[in-house]
Amino acid sequence: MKTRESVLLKRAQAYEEQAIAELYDHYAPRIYSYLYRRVHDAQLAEDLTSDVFVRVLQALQSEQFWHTSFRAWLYRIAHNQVINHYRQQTRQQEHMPQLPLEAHLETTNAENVIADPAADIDAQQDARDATHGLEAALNQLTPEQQQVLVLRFGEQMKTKEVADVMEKTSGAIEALQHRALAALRRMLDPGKV
Amino acid sequence: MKTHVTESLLTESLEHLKKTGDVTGTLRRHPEQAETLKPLLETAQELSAHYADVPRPPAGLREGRVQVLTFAALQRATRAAVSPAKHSTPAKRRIAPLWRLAGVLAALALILIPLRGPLVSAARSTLPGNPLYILKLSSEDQLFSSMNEAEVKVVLAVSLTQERIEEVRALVEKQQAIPIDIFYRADYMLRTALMEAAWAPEPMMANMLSYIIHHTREQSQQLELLKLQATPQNLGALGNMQTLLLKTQIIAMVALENPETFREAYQAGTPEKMPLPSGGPLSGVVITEELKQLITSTPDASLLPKQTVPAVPLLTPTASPTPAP
Repeated sequence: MKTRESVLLKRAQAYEEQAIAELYDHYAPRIYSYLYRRVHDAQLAEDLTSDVFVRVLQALQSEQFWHTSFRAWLYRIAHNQVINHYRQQTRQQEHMPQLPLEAHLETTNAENVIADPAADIDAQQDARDATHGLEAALNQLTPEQQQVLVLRFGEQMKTKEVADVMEKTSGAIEALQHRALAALRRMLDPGKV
Repeated sequence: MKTHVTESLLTESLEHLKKTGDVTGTLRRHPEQAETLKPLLETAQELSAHYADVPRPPAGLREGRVQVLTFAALQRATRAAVSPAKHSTPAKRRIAPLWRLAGVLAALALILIPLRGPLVSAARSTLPGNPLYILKLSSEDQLFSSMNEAEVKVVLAVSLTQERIEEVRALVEKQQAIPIDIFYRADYMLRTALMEAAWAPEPMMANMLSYIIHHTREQSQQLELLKLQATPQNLGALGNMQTLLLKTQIIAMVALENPETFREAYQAGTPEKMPLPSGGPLSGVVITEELKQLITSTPDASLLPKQTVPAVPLLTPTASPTPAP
């Protein structure tokens, strides 16, 4: 672990405001992106981001401290927040909710993505269909496969880092990644894999 | 014929693809496996493009930041309360933790008012005249001075003003006189909130001012309702308090329209130079001796701005996160 980061964490353990602010400013945007990729709702991802940091501050005081990488530990907490969120929703709705795909498409297409003025309407429609198809296919994967893909291709982590987050061996991550990509390809383009 | 691609070969190819972005070039490195590898690499590329679309966080992660820092401040205060001072005398060591804990718990109850409803009654229990009241105030001061972040200070200042209103409510309900000190404490907090806003960078300043407007407006409405059950003696005090909230609202609204003037006046330490309207909500308010200086220190200026100010809470109450098993 980087020395500067360990110093910051030591200070954060004492609830020192400046250290916590620095850690938050550094990691919150990444955790927000990760959470958005998992829940597809910007507002929810933002709320969960602050929950993750409150959990971090609580966990820093207990035995549940990270052992290898702070970053991996942070992503594990973020992953747990996603699981908790869906569990709470399940309890409320008595069934596992589908990912809010339509909301995601509306958000990404309507207001948050700067439209390319040169792109014609057909191209935009094609892009929407492709996104829809990919998202639907992703939803068919197992939760572990989805997580591996988000960490590898969303967070751009190396397999070792993903292994740290998911507490598995690098070999297991490579196998999960292979199966996930192959399954995704089969769903998107049957016959090619 | 398709050839089997090992997991490590796929990983190695994905790493190469990540660096170069070139599928063809990556496949050229493993011509025998190219046919099997190609759809996997293309899928990986599609995924990377798909995951790159992340909208900006709606509140720019600012609200969360305030929430996290406020949580940290509370934890810091609690920790200070339960750890006895290292260099205190034996007699002090016996008594200090208890006193400090009581003070900090009171402060915790205060700051948690917007977050936890059931604690409201606990916070109300300590009123002016109670021996513990001075302890409550000093713990508030201690908590406030331990904050460095401007946004946290604004949220806390508004929360502490709300606490003064809760005290006013309790006194009105008990038909006891409202001491002028409550007014001065609220005045100090609201001035501080405005001062913090004046020193904040542009987008943050607008958020802070909107937050102040939204909450002082609500607080003013609470006082309006309290007037219905107030004794004639307390009506004047309630009016003073309302005027103070109104004045704060107006300053914040004018500041939103004229941020430069606001900054200049407050940063120079001369808030009285902030031009305020003479009519509008301030007209018709009974001006008491205590308020004279406050009101007359503001020269007349243009009419109250008519813009609608959006309610932008800096601190959004949320449920405590539940740890995953």
